[in-house]
Amino acid sequence: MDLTWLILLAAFGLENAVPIGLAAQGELITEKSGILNIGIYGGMAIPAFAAAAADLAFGPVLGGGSAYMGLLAAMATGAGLNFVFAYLSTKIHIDQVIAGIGINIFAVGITAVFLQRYYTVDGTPNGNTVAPLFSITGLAQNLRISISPLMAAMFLLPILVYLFLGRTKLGLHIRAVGENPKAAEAAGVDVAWVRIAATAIGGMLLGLGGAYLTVDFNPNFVPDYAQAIFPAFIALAAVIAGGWKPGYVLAVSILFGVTEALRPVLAVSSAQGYLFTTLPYIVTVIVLGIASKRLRPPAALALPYKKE
Amino acid sequence: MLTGVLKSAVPSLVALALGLLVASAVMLAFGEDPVGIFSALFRGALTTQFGQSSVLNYMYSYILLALAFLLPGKAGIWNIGGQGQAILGGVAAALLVEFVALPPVVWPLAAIVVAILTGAAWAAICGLLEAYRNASAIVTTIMTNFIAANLATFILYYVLIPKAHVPSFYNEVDFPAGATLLTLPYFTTSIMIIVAVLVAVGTAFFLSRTTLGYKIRATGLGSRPAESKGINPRTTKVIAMIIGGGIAGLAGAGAVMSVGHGCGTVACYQDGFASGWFGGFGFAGIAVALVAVNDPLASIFSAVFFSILAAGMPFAYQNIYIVWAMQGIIIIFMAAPELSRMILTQRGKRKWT
Repeated sequence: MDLTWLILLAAFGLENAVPIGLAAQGELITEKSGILNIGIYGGMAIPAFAAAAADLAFGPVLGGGSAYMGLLAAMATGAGLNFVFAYLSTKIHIDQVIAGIGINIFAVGITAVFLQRYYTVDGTPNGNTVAPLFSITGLAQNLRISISPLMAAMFLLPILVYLFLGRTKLGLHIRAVGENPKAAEAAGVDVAWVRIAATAIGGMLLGLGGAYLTVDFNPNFVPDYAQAIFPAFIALAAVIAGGWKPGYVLAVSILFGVTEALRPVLAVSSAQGYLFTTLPYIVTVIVLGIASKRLRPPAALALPYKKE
Repeated sequence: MLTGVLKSAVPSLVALALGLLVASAVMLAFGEDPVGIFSALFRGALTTQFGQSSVLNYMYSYILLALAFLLPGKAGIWNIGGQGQAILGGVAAALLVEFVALPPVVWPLAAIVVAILTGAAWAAICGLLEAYRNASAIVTTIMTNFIAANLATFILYYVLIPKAHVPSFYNEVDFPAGATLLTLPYFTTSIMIIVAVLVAVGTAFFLSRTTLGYKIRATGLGSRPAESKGINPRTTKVIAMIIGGGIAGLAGAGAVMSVGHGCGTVACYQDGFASGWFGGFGFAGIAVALVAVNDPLASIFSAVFFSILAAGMPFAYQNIYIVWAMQGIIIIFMAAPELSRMILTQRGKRKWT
């Protein structure tokens, strides 16, 4: 039996999973602190654009290394954007959900505005991409699977996130303010700043996920909003379907990535492909519907906290 | 009373002003002239026949989708799914028109009823999940938006276009003349704008003067206080979602059944709803409702502003995406009444509360 298509499926599935997996771990850290970041699309799209822009700007100076400047730029803008969002929602008591919606719409607009001003409406020109760590050949004829550093990061991150949340002081504080902010405050934890930190760290990972789309998987940023919409909201879904546990969230991210890779395999026509695209969302709604009583979301998720 | 109204409008006006300010700053940074651009925008939208029709065309969707967001909101349930409910409503109306032939007046009415029922049923899923399974509608309505958009595109390509025998690269299905909505005199837009204003007035009356409206508002103030008044908060939340979804479905029917601006075709619906998920009307509707501070009647006025922006921008500025950026900024500022309060108090206007 020819296993080529299975290998291809795994390879494409993993590639699809990288932005989902990276962003989902970021969103997980944020949600653990009690902040629900609906602005996840903006948190990926703006850094994705920043990555492409930095990549192009540093291209003449650094050559192929400019892609790494893209990654840095994406992490910085992701953290910065989320810092502002978290500062507004904890210190100025802005409504998290509404602000998140606002950030998403703002992201669509502002990236398109800058794109049209500095590049073309159709997208940025191609820049450099992150060099793969190593390539796997010989599995099938003419097949070369490149393992990107970001893919390696996707597999490593859940372990790091698990250790961060379970073993470090900041991690414990994040979980404490996400479960019972009042008790945490009484124990001397600064609820607002812990939430801001968790959201900014999450933003770095959202940015990395966005950067994968523009300086790794693709060499450019295109204003095809599907490019970042798909991974962003799937990542939001993966956090829930993975029950707020880093390892499960990774597993679900890969599962959703493979589902998307199955689309061209199983859908006879492009029209049927649209049905496949709905699968991760349907899975998430079903998981929420069936297991919501057993899922353990952070108790204070999406609840604002005001110091008394 | 009038000063009360003015006072309550302050945060909205501040948010709108800040949105305009940020957009102007971006234009200035690009070396462009914001005053010229905005005056061209208002001239285009308000003084040309095309612009005026376009304003009305945007307005009915904005009003209805704002109501679809704010009515469930009064019961304390987040309906971010107006977009999906409208899309499926539009598709359901299109399916009825394509597959069932009815007499002229009954035909569009039946299509509208089917659209309302579809939008309501789709919203009911999320309402039931929140009320009885504790699954937040914030998340499920976002998820169902994507399911709806993709399902609708599938039905468009797989069912509607083959049925209408149109080569698929046209991506459109023309409606038979008997199944479209009446067109307003002078304007190239349908009577939907009148319907939308009536629905807004009806919603205001419903919320303030009926028992069910009272129950919805009581539930929004908290499940426990509502229970102590003998109200079942779960049922009430589901009912509020169903009504909101029905209103969104009506907007979807309007989008596919209105003639003018290339509408009266599923292509219009396709451009307006399915492909442009974010440019889509659902999120603009949320912005409209927020600026109206969740007041049904104020939504009409807030929709006027957003419609002028959307309809006038193509006249003024090739970079129309700035409207989206502006909408985002306005939404963010509306999310923080304290933000506008801070800005005002720093200028010494401490009287306003």
